[in-house]
Formats: sequence, structure tokens, C-alpha cells
Amino acid sequence: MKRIQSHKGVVGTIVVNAEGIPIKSTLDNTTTVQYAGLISQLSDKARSVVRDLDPTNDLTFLRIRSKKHEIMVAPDKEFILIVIQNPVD
Amino acid sequence: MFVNRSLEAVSFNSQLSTTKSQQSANVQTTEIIYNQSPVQTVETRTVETQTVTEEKKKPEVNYERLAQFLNRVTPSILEVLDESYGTNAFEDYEPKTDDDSLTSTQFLQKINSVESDSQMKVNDISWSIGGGTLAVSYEGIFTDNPNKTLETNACVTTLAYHPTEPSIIAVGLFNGDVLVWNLRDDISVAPTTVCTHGDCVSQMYWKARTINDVSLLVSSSKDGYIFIHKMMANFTIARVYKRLKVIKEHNPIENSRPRSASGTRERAAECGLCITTFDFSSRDPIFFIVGTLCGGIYKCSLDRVAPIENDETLMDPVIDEYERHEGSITCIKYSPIRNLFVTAGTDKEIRIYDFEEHTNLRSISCENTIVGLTWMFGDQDILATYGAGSDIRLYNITNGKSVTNANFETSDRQNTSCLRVNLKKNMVAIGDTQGNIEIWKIPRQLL
Repeated sequence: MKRIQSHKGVVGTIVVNAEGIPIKSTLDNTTTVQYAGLISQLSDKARSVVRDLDPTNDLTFLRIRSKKHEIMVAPDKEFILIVIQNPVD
Repeated sequence: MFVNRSLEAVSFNSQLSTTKSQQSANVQTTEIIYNQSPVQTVETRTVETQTVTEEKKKPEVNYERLAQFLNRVTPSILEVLDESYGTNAFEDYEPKTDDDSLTSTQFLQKINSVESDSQMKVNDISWSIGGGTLAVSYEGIFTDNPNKTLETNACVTTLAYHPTEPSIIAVGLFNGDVLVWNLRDDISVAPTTVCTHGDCVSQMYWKARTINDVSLLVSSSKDGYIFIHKMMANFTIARVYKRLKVIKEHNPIENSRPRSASGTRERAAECGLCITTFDFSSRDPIFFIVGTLCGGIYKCSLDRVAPIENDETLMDPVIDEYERHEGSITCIKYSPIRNLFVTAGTDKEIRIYDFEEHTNLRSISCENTIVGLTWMFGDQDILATYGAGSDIRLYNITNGKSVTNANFETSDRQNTSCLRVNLKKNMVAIGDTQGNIEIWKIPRQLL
């Protein structure tokens, strides 16, 4: 996690468990809770979309590009890793 | 009276004349009935709340697995981070989030379906209700864009698409014929002849769905007659509903028929005032305003029963007159949202009248003669005016001020002959005296 956090442009890193509860975070409490709740919902939805399209397929990675940040989501069975990056400083 | 001797005592009986009568009466009170009903008012509920200060549980984490997960995921994350940090893929990408980000009028298309530099005037244009079709009439031929061409035996002076039936179009001809086409089938392009006026048809108007779901077609002619026809059996049968005539007595000065008017002489002898335009009230559909060639503006009612010339079927609709224009009335438009109407005349004036008042509320002077008025979409107080000269001006009728943020300027337009608004697609079609039609798109928020 330190390696990721020290990467260029990374604003924050959050690890969320399967229930959507943040376990590790480099951001402040409220931001972490907000990101964790919203992103875990979104990644669940995205996973169900991928699985509905093709039952043998699965979601491996999710990137959300916004005007300000890029949010990268690596979902797993037990954990979700969320990395928020400021692409151009 | 007083003597000193004693007199014998005299006694007398009491003179009580009547003996007091006595009556005995019984009063028995009715039996009092007692009702007993129990009322229980109080219902008590007890709710107890116990707040427990619970230690916030740390989520149980299998750190071994977390480490595994992070180890597995980190390389790909780093790769992606590297990739996206330096990327310029989205640099110039500005997503279009607004529906209509157009900030000015946009010239879309120029249609010229007659030969270039011919002097064919666009007489009238009309959008179909869906906004997908534009019917155009030229001096001489009548075309419905390249899709369809309909031929008539005289010049088309006016045309009107039905307000709810997209395939029905009514056409008024210079020789007085009123025709209705149903464009639904490609094969049957034969029109229904509704009626024949004694003179050139000046305006037509569909009054939809007023009585028993039957459309009424109102057509006015320059000989002073207004015919109202019921269109039945899917617009194939026309039946006379009312015949109205604006008689000459309303303006005796106007008794010589204008030279420009055509028509047979017998008909000319009995003609009324030359009607150039009319429009129905948006408040009460029985009232309409008629404008004449000599500047008269008349308030008319469909319900007025005043037979003229001993003809029971011919009525004079005029109930009142407004202040006259100095020149011919070219256009009258009733406000869709207010009890006002706007008139334009060849005296280069636009006047705004209240329906109830004889004199105008406001008059706007123009540089050029205005031949037509059209309400814009969006703010329905805005009126487009057009006529001689290339400029089309918009006015707000509530304050009489010119609206300047919509611009229709082009270099090669000369005189505008008609302008129609397409409500569905926010477009405006402008026809000129050279046979050209321009299509403009106007952002709704501009007005």
C-alpha cells in the first residue's frame, strides 16, 4: 500500500472489505466512509452487469474517469482496493 | 258627624262576591330512563429506550489474506497508475452534458426547389404538426418539398396543415377554390374540393375539435365572405356549417372594389369588405378578429345571428369595430396566452390591442412594411415580424421592446414573404420573394 500511495499523483488509497467497511485508508474518516460506501455499491453493480452479460465473465478492474480524479477499483472476493489519483498535477 | 251620644252598633256581612275556585291537578313525570355506557379514555403505552454504548467493533480482517490480495493487485494497479498518469487521452475531451448548448441561432439549410434567379415568390409555408414536413407554396406551383409535388390549377395563396392530423393539408387558391389533400396514401392524391369563393382565398384556419370531434375549416376570401365547413368522413366530405359576410355598410367609403381584386363581375357586385386576414381568439373560440384591405379591424362572433339580404344562411358576424389602421391590414395574430391581439398594416405600424378596448394599447413603428407576424416558441409574448427588407425583428408585446438576441441575418435574402415556427423541433422556416426557403434552428433558452 505504501508503494501505491507513494506513486505519482495518488491522492488516497482505501481497502474495503466485502461488507463495504473500510479497513485501511490513507484518507480522513468521512471521505473514507463516503468513498467506501459508494464505490463498493458501484463495483457490485458493475460486477452484476458483467456477469449478466456473460455468466462466465467477471469484473476484474474498474476505472472511473472524472474531471478531477481518476478512481481505480480492484474488486476481489473479500476486498476492494480503491485508489484515487489526480492524473495531471 | 261627631255627636255626643252612643249609637247602636250595626253589623254587616262580608261582601266577598266570588268564592275562589279550587282545582286539583296531577302531574306525573315520565319515567326517567338511565343509560349506562362506560368510557375509558386513557391508553398508556410505555416505550423504553436503552442506549448502549457499544465498543465499535473492528472489522475482522484476515491480514494474511489482505496481504495476499494486495500483493496480487498491486502490480496491476501500479501499471494502470503509470499509464493513466501520463495519459493525454482525455485531454481535449469535454463531455457534452447539456442538452442544448447552442447559444445563438443557427442557419441549417437553404432550400431552393425552383430554378435559380426566377422571380417566384414563396406564397406560404406550413409545418405539419409533427414538425417533420414542411409544405411550401410557390407562385404558380405548389410543392411539398422534393417528397411530393401537388399541382393546382391556379396560384396557391395560402395553405394550412391540420393542427392534429399530420396528413391533412388545406390549400386556398387564387381563383377562390379551397382544396383539402390527404397525403397519407401515396396513390390518392386527388384533393377534396371544399368550396369555391368568389375571389382569391386570403386565409385559412383549422378549428379542430370544437363540435362533436369534427374539424372545422374556416376560409376567408377577398370578396368579404368567410365560409366555415365541417370536414367529415375522414376529410373527404365537406358540409357547409356557416356562411358569414362582412358587409359593406361597416365602412361605406370602401365601396369601390379594389382594382387588384379579381373574380367575376356578378360576384363583384355583391361582395363585402375585402378580408385580408383573420384570427380566432385564444380565450373564447367563438370570437375572431377580421382585418380588411382598407384598414378596418372588426370584432366578430360566430354566434351572432343577423341575416343579411334576406338570406337566412348568410350571417354578418361583426359585433364591434376597433380603431382603424391608415393602410391595409396585412396580418392579425391573437396572443396564445393573453387576451390581446396584434395587427400589422401597410402603414408600417404594428399595433397591440386589448380584446375589450377600441383603441390600441401600444403601437410600434417599423422601417419597412410588415406583411406577417408569427408568435415564437419559448416565451409566447415574443412576436416575429417580417416583410419588406431582409431583417426579421422580434418584439416582446408586453413592453413593445425589440428582442435582439436572436439573429436571422443573411446576405442574400431580399424580402421575406413568410415565416413559420416549428414548435416540435425549435426551427423556423423563412420564405422569401425569390423562391428560397431558409431553415433556422433557434435555441429555446434564447427567447
